[in-house]
Amino acid sequence: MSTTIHVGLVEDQPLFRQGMKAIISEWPGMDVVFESADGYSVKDKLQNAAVIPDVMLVDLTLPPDGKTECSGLDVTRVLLETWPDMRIIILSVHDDENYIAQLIEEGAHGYLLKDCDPGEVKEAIESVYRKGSYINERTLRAIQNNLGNRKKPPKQKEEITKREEEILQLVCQQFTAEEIAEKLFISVKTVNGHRNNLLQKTGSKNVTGLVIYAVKNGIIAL
Amino acid sequence: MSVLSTLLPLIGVIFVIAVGVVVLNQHFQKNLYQHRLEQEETKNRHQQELLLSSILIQEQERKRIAQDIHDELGALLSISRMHLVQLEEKEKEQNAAVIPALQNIRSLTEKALSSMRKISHELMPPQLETFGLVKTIEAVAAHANKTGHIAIQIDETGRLPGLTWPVKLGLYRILMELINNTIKHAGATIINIQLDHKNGSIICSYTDNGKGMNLDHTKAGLGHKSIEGRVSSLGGTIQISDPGDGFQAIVTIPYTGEDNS
Repeated sequence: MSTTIHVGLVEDQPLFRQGMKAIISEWPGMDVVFESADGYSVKDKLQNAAVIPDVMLVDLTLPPDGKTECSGLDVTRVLLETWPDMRIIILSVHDDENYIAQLIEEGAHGYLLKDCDPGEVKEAIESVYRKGSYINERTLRAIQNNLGNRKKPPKQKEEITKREEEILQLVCQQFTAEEIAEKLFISVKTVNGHRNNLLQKTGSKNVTGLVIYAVKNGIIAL
Repeated sequence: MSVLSTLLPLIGVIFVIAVGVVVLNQHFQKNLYQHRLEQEETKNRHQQELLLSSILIQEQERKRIAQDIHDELGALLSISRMHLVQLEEKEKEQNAAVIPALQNIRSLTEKALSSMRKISHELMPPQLETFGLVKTIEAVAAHANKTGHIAIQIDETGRLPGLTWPVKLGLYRILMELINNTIKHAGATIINIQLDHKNGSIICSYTDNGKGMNLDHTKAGLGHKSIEGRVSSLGGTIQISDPGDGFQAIVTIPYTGEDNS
């Protein structure tokens, strides 16, 4: 096993590529041995290359080959098919969790945002090289949120107040907002306010949800 | 007697001719009317197509600008930031005096990056094409829910089929317009979005628990005009109502088939 980690860069933005190369070259134990400004020619270039990179940093948005799209996702697939031992880190501006989860699912060994700290790039390269993967907190969250169905927005578990409970009982007895206002000597606006709070606190979408909540929690008896 | 016997057939003939003329005339009128209707319909269809194509041209341009900003500018700002962090590390020991200045520049590039992301996402969210309407709106919702002021719930009642790009994009823009209106004006705490697919239509029902809207006022607004334009360019309909405890809009768009693009 070589002591120097051979790093490759697939990145269409020349200034980013050069900058990244300069930064990586400063780190001991790492060397940039391969560069490509597009994704579609990577396989051909690598087949003629003297040294195959251990770790490839791949941009997500890459120029198409004529009319055929060739994104970082396509590059990841092709590389893993031909060089299954290669480690791939996606380095992208896209911070959407869907992208992160999709790329990890397709076999990328890590996903970094381009505006992360250089120290994290170093850590990621070393980690994928030695341990096989680099999953930071953001990536982990993206994977969790994309497992099965996405979670619904958190429903606040607030206690409902005495007044709200009173209103809920009246709502369940089919009193209108006006009637409730009259009974409790408050304005219709206040009644509606309470009812909206109830909808939110119980996570209901409409009055039916409120009634179900009331029955479940013993606020009214059937 | 003989006068009558000669007149009678004559009257009969005249009567038949008269009836014939009337019937022919009516038939002619009807044809003309139908022809006009058809013409009107062709004109309408043509206008709808024009509207849709002008919207799509505009959207294509937006997409190009958004991508350029996101990828080009994003990469440049990111690498500037990396260089700055690198420089901070290096100068920390020997040249500590410059650190605050470097940190200041770094925080400026970070602000530039986040405003670049915002601008590019508003122009065209990159997820929409790759991951579809529901996931994109879910990302918007997750972002809004984080602020704690409003909770956006999305229900995909009937699983949506693959939508064509114009429909996907149109619904996204309509929903964003509605969400922005709610956040800006309604003082609501909950937004509920239901997407359904039935009877050959995509039905999107949108409600909030805000203070509702003055309907006459709403219909005159630019936002509403833009929503109406979007809806009619897709051959759909929108019903807006104010049930008294919030705002409700139901958008119905005919389902035009799988997205093959």
